[in-house]
Amino acid sequence: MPNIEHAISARKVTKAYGTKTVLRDVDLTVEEGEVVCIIGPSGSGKSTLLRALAFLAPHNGGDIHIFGREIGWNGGAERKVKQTEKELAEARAPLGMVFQHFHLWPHMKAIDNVALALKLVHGKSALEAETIAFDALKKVGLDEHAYKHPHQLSGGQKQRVAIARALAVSPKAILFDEPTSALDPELVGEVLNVMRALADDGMTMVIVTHEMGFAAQAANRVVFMDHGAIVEDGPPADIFGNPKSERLRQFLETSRDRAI
Amino acid sequence: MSLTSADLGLLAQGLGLTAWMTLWGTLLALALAVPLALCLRSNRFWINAPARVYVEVMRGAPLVLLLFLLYYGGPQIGLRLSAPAAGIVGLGFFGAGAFAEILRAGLNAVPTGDVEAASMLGINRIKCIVHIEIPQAARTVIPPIFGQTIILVKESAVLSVITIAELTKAASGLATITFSVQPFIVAALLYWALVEAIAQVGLAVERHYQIGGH
Ligand SMILES: Nc1ncnc2c1ncn2[C@@H]1O[C@H](COP(=O)(O)OP(=O)(O)OP(=O)(O)O)[C@@H](O)[C@H]1O
Ligand SMILES: [Mg+2]
Repeated sequence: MPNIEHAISARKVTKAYGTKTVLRDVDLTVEEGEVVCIIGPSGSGKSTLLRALAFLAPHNGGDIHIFGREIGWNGGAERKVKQTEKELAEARAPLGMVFQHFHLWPHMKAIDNVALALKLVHGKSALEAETIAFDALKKVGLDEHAYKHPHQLSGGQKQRVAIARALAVSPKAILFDEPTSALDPELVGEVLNVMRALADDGMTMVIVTHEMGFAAQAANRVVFMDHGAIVEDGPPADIFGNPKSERLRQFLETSRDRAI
Repeated sequence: MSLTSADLGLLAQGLGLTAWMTLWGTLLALALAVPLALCLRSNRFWINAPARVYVEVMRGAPLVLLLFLLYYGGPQIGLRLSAPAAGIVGLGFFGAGAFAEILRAGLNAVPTGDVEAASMLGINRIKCIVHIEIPQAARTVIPPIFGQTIILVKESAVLSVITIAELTKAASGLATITFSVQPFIVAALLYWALVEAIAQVGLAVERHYQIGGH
């Protein structure tokens, strides 16, 4: 069943590593233009869910659609009909991904990191690719650093290059897995500012984060996960101001303590 | 009795032959090692198992046996190689196993996330190997590749068994004529010089590709 109207729709998604169940019947829908933050304690399955949405962590049950097109399996995970490399690439095409540890390719300059897929996948000439890549780097405020290698950049700059790399191929939605968790505190702001600007531009974003302030302010919706399940899902005002479950209340309390 | 300049000329020729044979043997070994390493990394049994068997056999067998098989056994199956050709092929086949293991380890050291990032951008497996995995692995494998090349230089001494007048053969020939160990001492110095030269090239290449940590 296609879900043309949703950007992302996960239905009854389960995932196990061996005998350990990590996602339990997760239902998540994200609309176009929405900014959804996923919060929850360590080990609750946030990264796994995000990676399942992109089929980097193949789900074992349920189905996931990206802008109406199923990703990973054909006809749900239970039928075990895996998509071909080409089908998967097409299903993934609307998605960008930003990782906690950046994963820039260290042997290439920032601009080449951003331009590579434009050349290899989108058939752009070297000159076209470089122009688009430069614009993307400009958008994240790094045009002056375009010709540096990743090791010459700070963590915050690296993450902004990674965002530019995701943006350059014009995704319709971007998934972020703790984009600021590997950064020194003083570098967190520059990355969050770029993400805020993207959100204001109407980009569809799913963000796993421990930055409660950012989630409260930038998200349209906040999803709280615990033990592989979505426990609460609602507007930030409700999640942070009026938690219904004891588990969320406790989680917010401990993360508030940690922030102080 | 000291060595004449003609004797030294013979040793120099031997050194040249040793360097020449090892150079081509190493290049052949590297050329074979790339597909071999990719096969080792395949998760399909019928691709990785034969590669694994090859690597294990080459690890276990002495080079001298391989040379006998190629040079003396080859003609029995219609494979007639000149001594230098058999020497290069022998060194190539022998080195390929070791080089393949080095390349495999280098490719495995590329962070999974780097590959996932490529895959999220639609870059397919083969393009990812060519543009991301091999260039990154190349940096980490440079020191062990040169180390293994130095091992091949020394292993090449056994090429004398198939009549090649490389350095060791030249030295032992001279020693029988001159009744002296001097040729061996000179040969040892020449091996040392060659090995040192290769090590220096290795360091230069390593420095060239050094682009900081990550
Ligand atoms: N590749 C894997 N193999 C086995 N178990 C895994 C794997 N990846 C994750 N897990 C397990 O799955 C559970 C959920 O992990 P996940 O990384 O999704 O949690 P998380 O909510 O992102 O935590 P954190 O906040 O620490 O990043 C954990 O118990 C983890 O140990
Ligand atoms: Mg995580």
